[in-house]
Amino acid sequence: MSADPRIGWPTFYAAKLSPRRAPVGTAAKPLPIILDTDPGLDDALAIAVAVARPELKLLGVTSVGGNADVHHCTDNARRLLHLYGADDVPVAEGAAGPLSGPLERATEIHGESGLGATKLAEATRPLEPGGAVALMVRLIEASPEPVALVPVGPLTNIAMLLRGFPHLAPKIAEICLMGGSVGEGNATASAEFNIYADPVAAEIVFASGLPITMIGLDVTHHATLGADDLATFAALPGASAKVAAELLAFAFARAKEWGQHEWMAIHDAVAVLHLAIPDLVGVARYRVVVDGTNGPARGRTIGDASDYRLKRDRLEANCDVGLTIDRERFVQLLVDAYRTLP
Amino acid sequence: MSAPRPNPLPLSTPYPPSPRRAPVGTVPKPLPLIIDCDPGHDDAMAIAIAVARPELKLLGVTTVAGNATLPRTFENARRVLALLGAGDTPVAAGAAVPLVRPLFTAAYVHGESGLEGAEMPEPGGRVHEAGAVDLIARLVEASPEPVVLAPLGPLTNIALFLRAHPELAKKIAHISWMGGAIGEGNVTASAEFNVYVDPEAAAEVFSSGIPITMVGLDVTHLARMGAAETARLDAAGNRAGKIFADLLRYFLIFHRERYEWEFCAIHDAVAVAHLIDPDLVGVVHAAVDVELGDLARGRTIVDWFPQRLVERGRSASADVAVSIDSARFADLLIGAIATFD
Repeated sequence: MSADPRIGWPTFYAAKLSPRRAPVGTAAKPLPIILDTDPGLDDALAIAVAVARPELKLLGVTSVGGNADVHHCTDNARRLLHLYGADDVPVAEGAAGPLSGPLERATEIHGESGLGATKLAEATRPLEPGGAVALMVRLIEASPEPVALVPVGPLTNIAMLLRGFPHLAPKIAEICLMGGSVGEGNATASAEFNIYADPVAAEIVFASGLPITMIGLDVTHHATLGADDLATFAALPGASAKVAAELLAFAFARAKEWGQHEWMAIHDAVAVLHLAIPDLVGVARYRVVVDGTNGPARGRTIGDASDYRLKRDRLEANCDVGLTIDRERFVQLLVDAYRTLP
Repeated sequence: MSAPRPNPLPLSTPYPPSPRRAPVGTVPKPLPLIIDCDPGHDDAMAIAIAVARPELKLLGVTTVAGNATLPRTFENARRVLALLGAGDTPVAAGAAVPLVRPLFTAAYVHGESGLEGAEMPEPGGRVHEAGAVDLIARLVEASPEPVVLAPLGPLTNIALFLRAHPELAKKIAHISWMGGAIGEGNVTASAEFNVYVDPEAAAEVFSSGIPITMVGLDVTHLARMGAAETARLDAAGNRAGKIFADLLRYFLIFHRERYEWEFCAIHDAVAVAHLIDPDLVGVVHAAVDVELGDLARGRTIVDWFPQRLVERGRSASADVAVSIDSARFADLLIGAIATFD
């Protein structure tokens, strides 16, 4: 990316980076995770990383309506796992829309199918019966270790799980979610898409008291791939990398149409990598509350890192918020992941 | 290439700078100006600029409850006018409470009186007993030229004026308002103080259709005066310089205790300085909404993104300040104060 002469979001109260609280898997002791996703261009890369990284044990994938209709998202998740040679990973279909209100989609970015113009071979493993929440319950109950949830779409399934099965809370090691922004939003000036798509679910998750890491636009907008990176992916051996290059090309074409820089933020992959790499993302402690009202700040993750205000209002921080990332290392991690895939 | 960014609120999408739409006064053609304020240390400095600079013609000063209660802000405004030798400036008291909500003051910033820290002269100014809305209306009616309003506190008086005199809206050339924030607020994570105190008034003013510039925390936190600037005021050798230096020393206590800053932000003076110096403040064109719900109460939601505005059927009708030349601001303010006795 060339230097952009335009002005950045100004800010004044420095949130101090703090040690991460989220668990990290290791190759010797991989962290069990469940990926809840709405593929989605960047979701495709997130799933690839979840399959490829030896520090993570991908127990299952659940789908949710968001970037596209849920049937498309489910189908995409299954086909992507098949492409990545992960037919052992169970997939279940989740919520078709938010807890309240109509489905907000992002098909203008991801294409009607959710995966641009890319056509993938059909999956061979059948869909899990009973739906997303049932699969999450089975996987969490069966896991000897607490499980990390990685929701990278609207939080509908996660809210349903937390509300419906509160006894499982001790077995959830972390909710490392892609969503929100303590700065500017993207769906609106206030709100990031995943939270905007289901603010009620997000309210439930952020108020749950479970350990949360919010990987929002504040960090994911610095986790970008550009034209050079597309060429790198295109030159890698294997069908998976070719698909990644195709998805990137689709996103760049869209950006060009909109008169924007030809780069794409790989939002969702950051949340997955945060659980595999201890020092990729820098975080700060924030109190985050979701605005579920119908005003212009609907879906905003109101983030407060001011000790002064939190003390004044007798509140405590409730999550880690991702703020910094080493972009070059992030790109390298993605490329390395694809090298190991078929 | 991009190193890890230390910026705690990194940018999602960069703002394209846009040409300013606020008028600029000149010496041959000064801008007729009404200041609506709640002094307030930084309000006092804003008034000093308006009185000192020949590019502005200060028609009157109205006051509103905000930094302190109304009797205090009214008295403070009159003391400031006396200090500045502007004892014949019309001055009126306005709203004692916000349109809808109970008053919330900033005694924790400005002290109980609203202007702690200096020995101020006895109140001056020509008091207009019929109140702020009436004074604004008369001054606007009497002015041959459209008038610029510079509200530096909650927008209660301006909203009441627009309700009472919709016919005068066309004679308001521009509103240069200190308030709001694109990024983080101050009184809450969401909201800047002036808009937090009376969000309903702010929402009315933004939807009035009158051209407006929002000079928010995003730039006013860069309008800084610290020890070096205080020393320059002391060195000016005039009474006003000494008193403003004392005010700054008091104002600094809050900034040091709350933010660990060795400077204070002279918020309100920026909205006035913007009307004098065309190269001081950079703006972006945006649509601004005000959140009226309780959770993000008083947040100013600034949307400049072209595709989003088209989808929302909105136009980027407001100028929102996004950059400032801090050194130039300090020179302008100190220079203005040095012109007084």
